[in-house]
Amino acid sequence: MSYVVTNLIVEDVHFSYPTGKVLSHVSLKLKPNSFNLLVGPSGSGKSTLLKLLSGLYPTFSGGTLDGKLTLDGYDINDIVPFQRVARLGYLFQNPTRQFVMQTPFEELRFSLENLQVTPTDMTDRIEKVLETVGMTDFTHHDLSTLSGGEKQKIALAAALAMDSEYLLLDEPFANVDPVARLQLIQAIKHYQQQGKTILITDHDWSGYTDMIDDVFVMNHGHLHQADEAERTKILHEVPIQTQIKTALPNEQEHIIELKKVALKNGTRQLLRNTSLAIPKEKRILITGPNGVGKSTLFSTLVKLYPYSGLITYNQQDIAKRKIAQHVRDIALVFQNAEQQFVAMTMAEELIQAQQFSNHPEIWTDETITEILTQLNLVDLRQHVVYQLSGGQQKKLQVLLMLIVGTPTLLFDEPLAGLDNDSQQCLLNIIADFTTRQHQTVLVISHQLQAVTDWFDFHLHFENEQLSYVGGEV
Amino acid sequence: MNPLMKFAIVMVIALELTFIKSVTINLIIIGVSAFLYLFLKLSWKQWLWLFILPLLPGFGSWFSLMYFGTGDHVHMAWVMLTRVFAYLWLGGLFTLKLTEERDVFLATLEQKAKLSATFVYALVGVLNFMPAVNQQIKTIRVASQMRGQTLHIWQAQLYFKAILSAIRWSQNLAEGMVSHGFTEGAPRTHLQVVSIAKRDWLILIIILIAFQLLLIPNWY
Ligand SMILES: Nc1ncnc2c1ncn2[C@@H]1O[C@H](COP(=O)(O)OP(=O)(O)OP(=O)(O)O)[C@@H](O)[C@H]1O
Ligand SMILES: [Mg+2]
Repeated sequence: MSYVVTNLIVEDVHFSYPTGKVLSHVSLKLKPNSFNLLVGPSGSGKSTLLKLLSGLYPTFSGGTLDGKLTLDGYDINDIVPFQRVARLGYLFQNPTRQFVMQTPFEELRFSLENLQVTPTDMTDRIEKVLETVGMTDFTHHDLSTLSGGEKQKIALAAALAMDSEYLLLDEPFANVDPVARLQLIQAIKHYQQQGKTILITDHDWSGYTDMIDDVFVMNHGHLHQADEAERTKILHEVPIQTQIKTALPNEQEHIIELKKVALKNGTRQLLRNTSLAIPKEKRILITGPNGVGKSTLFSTLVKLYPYSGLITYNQQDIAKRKIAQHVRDIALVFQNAEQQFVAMTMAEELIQAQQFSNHPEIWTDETITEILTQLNLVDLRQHVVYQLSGGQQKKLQVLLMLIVGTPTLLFDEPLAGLDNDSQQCLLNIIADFTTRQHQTVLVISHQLQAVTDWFDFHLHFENEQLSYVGGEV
Repeated sequence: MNPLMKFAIVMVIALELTFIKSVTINLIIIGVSAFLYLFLKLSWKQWLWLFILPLLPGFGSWFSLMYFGTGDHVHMAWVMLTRVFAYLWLGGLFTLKLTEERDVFLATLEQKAKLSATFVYALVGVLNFMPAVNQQIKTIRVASQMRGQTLHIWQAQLYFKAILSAIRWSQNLAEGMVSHGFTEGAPRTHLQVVSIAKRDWLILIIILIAFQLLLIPNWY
């Protein structure tokens, strides 16, 4: 097979944001046609490096770059975008951030037009790539109505459609369900077989360990390539898919009850005629494939989404409750962390949360500092919340909602995009404080490996049905 | 008909209406628009808007001219009232179908009117953003309610957050466009090549000439 080999060189790169240095002495060499994994704890600088490689930084960052970053001898930043993306495709960590157009079709069309693809090839190419990610049915849907995982698939499709020689993927599977995950891995594998080079950052490489050639490790802004021993060690760290152990709920005190509830998204039925009860002061896991309606269910419980049937909270019909009062009893921890923020800096956010806490006696300054230390956030207090890394935002968001201490908390993918240590640490903190504050906890998650014993009950959402699973089999 | 051509006709006629002080001409415009609306299959809501929207500015100027005007004020009062209706009904011919024809309109702007693609896609971005604003404000309010704080519509903090999110959104849009290979001033291909039919030009010319002829008699 013959293909042009573009040569990407990264040598002794340093990068600082106005708030401080994040990358030092970074050098990187990717073998042509290889599959590379970039790992490292949250906030270590992985996304920053990828954005530099994609040429979006330093332009869009306000930071300063030093060192050599070239593509075929040209400075990456001197290459005009349409020529650059023809060689270097890039997928954002947060897919909602990169959409320009209204539907998947238009989004892909826009890219291909920029790359000056012949119009007669375009429709074909768009259809094919949407098929590879399994989103054909959504070709002309409004992007803003897609679920988190579905958006991620479209973003990946856009990156694949550009057919660039290097593909940089920043946590492409964070909100994707396990089945779709395997499908996307296949799509990426297929893409690599056409002679492409891939660099992916991820915290969980189960399902594609055997595809990985080289492993790079980022630690506090320093990058090194793992030698054979370290590589083997890292690749063996994949969390094993364990059975989740939960029981079926029996007669106990209920906090939420659904009676004949149905949900719709436009004309699509999401939930059909469902009746069930959520026990009080327990931890309940909710699983189900992408787009099945998990986040919609949460929105419904906080009165942000229309439903039919009856939903009660503490034996009161929620339709009759005022929203301001209702969300003080049952609050949502959004899938997209940025929606949770109400202030500018982390310090301001924490003060606000403390001020409105339901349990001010628990949340003293010392406790907060201690938790921030456990979460590796303690030095970031003066940072603007929008400039934290994806993982840091997630951890802060969860902490803020724990401080507020709402009696019932609905967590929408709280573990997505977190490294193993952060996941464990966050789960311990959630368990500890929600127990002390007598909270009921509902969690949507695809990160099942971290949570084997953590939950009391397990609800599965599929085929328009929501029901308890578990118990003795 | 190509929406840009429609836009041109509507603009030219609207401009001329500003200088024409004739109730009859205004009524003819309203009548013709109403006739065309019959073919556009409007919903009753859209009809309602067409009647309600001009009422306030229309009767506002009618009353003020009727009671406070001097000279030819009775005639002018009627001219103003009908003019407001004519403007809005004429404009509606273009805007009411715009959501469906938006893509063609923007593509025509880019390909035929040779507007800069940067401008056109910034416009696309803004148009996509508009429906999200309402939702965004709602989310901001609920997010603060969940944090124990109720932001009322008269509170500055609500708008501060909204403006902040608009700024962040525009940065994301710029970054997104570049990451999709959008390059200022570079050539692009077009999946949908817009062509303006000869028939469209013909219709444009006929309508405009007919309109000029209509102006010749000395109407009330
Ligand atoms: N725009 C920005 N301005 C200032 N500081 C930033 C900005 N973006 C990121 N940072 C900081 O730079 C450091 C590296 O962030 P980066 O996003 O590269 O981390 P990451 O390794 O991708 O983490 P994660 O696994 O959580 O996504 C973090 O400490 C973060 O707070
Ligand atoms: Mg990151």
